[in-house]
Amino acid sequence: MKPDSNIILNEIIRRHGEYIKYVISLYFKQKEDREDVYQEMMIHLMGKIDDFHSQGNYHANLKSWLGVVVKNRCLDILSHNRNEFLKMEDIMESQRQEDQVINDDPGGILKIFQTTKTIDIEEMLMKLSERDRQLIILRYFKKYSINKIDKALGLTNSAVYIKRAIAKLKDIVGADRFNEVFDGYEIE
Amino acid sequence: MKKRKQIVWVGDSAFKFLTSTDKSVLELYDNYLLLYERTDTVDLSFCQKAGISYTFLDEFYLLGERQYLVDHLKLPVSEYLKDKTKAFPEGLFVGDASEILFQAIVDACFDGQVIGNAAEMEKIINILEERQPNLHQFSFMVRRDVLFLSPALRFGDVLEEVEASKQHAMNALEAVLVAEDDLPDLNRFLRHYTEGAEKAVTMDERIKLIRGDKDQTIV
Repeated sequence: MKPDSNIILNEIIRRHGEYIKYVISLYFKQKEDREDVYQEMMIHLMGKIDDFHSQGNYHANLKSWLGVVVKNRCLDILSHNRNEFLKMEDIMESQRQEDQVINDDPGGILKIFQTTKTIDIEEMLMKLSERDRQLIILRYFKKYSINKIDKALGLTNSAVYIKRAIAKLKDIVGADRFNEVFDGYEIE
Repeated sequence: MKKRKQIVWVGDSAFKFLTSTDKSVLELYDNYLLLYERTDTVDLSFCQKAGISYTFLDEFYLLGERQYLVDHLKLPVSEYLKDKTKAFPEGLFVGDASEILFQAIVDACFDGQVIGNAAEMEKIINILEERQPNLHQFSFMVRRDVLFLSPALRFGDVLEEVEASKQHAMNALEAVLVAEDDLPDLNRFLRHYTEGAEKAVTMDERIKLIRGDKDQTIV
């Protein structure tokens, strides 16, 4: 079965989506531009992935390859947008910054600092049933609307179930502990 | 009555293979699908029609500040395995180790498999369960085979991760199976996997058994 470009792209985005955004941000300062370029970059990457795999040369490091492809594409886009009065010095400075990041932090630009608080919440949610936990995660952490949750889970009024899930959690851990751990979260 | 085997399909590539497998073959097993997250391109109608249990890891477990890294996903996938596999004494994980989610599954088993072979593990579980009847936390590690699909993401560093994952699987799981590049479907293999991994590989030469069990290696 031929590798599916969509599957490959999804995996690349999960692994290095933030890195791609970061490299783009070095070349494009406006938020709207960055978003447009990111979308365009996904299409560009699909083509590049197909090229890469058809060449059969599998020695390249994924992140280094991405860095080169994304940087070159950004420069291509910039060179076609001369109306924006971009200065060559800005481009050179962006390249310098990017090279420094790659050299300073070969393992990845993002580090994890998991707080005690988030660990507490993870553990607390694991005391609930899978469905109740899913409802709370979707509503309060992934910020889904009630309609979207209804659609995703095939429910008719998930708001009721969400309220019940929270009540169960309060029962299990105690209201004081619940309030302490979820302090700062908009959970009712 | 002996329980049916469970198949846990892990990740996007496995999902693609799942949807191309005949319904009559799928019905031989209890099928579970684990995906990392819900996306617009994931069409779950196949699972809904076939009655296949599917889970998105980021809805099953609050990932919070965890990133898409093996070490960060090991605990969430362990919780998933404890929950979904405890009722099945035998089963198969299917996935592509160029996906970090699948690597995390293999590593979770590897971490849990610090005590000898599966038979020994079963004895220990039995002893522990006599003392604590509700204890199931180790049961996901018992008699699990694994099938590595051909990697979709073929970069040098990713292929090294795939090889490391296979090594972990060989130390942690029972039969370790590897699919060759141009595997169009898993129908022939799965039709016979009910009789064991060794029998199934004789039916489809594109799948190799690289480790039979804890005590013997079949190449």
